[in-house]
Amino acid sequence: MKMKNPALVMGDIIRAWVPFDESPKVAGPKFRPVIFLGETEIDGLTHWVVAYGTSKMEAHKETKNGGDLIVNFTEGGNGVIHGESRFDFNRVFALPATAEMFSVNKKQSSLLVAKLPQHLFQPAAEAMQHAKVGQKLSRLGVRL
Amino acid sequence: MHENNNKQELVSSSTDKENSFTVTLESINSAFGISADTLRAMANSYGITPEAMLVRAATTWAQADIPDFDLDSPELTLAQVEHLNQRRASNDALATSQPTTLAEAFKRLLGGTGENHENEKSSPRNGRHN
Repeated sequence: MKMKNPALVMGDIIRAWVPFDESPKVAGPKFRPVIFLGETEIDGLTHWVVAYGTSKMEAHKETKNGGDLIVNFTEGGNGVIHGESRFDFNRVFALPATAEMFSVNKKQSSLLVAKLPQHLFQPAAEAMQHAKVGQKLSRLGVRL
Repeated sequence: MHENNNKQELVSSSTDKENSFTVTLESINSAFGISADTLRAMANSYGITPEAMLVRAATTWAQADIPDFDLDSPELTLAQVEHLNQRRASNDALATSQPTTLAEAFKRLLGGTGENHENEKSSPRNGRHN
């Protein structure tokens, strides 16, 4: 089932059943926070391009190239995110915009969205730059 | 500055401090620039010094970046200087305003580092004129 487009913009935080690398089209086992980066068409299907996120914070897991962003939501998470999470812009995926990938029960077509706070735009942009996200979006056909 | 294949001669001839620059590179390639080893490898492939390589790079950039740039003209024209000054003024204005979206913040950085994106065709860092 295709997701309803909630007018996502770059930086919106949503959740996805992020696939394993070896099965990129199959929903994975964890409903992870991801940062929305853009929308593209692949094989006639709408895909959402997202950066990997995890709520499992471990020491020394940060990327060496500065391509990640650590956020701490105490409020405003809108049911999507709470507490500390780390987003890794080195891991960018284009996932089919379907309920199977983006719905908590894999059936609903509506979506919960949290907004990245404005004070994090600059550090997020810098992390994206370090991870060469511009080149990745270009290859995926995402327009800025 | 001029390109010279002999490193010793290039250093000893740099007597005018106004025309000399000291450049320190990082140890690894990154979004902030190439490493010293990469510069040496590129220069070596052309059989020139790293300093000469930098002069070539700056010259190539000037040709791509400055409108109607002419290597046979000893100085920039007033219009060319104004063009460069306008960019500085524009960058200063941008730096003092907060981005209202992540996309805007990211595009500002893209414009400042030369990271390629096909939608940023006007970036002079890509070797194109505005």
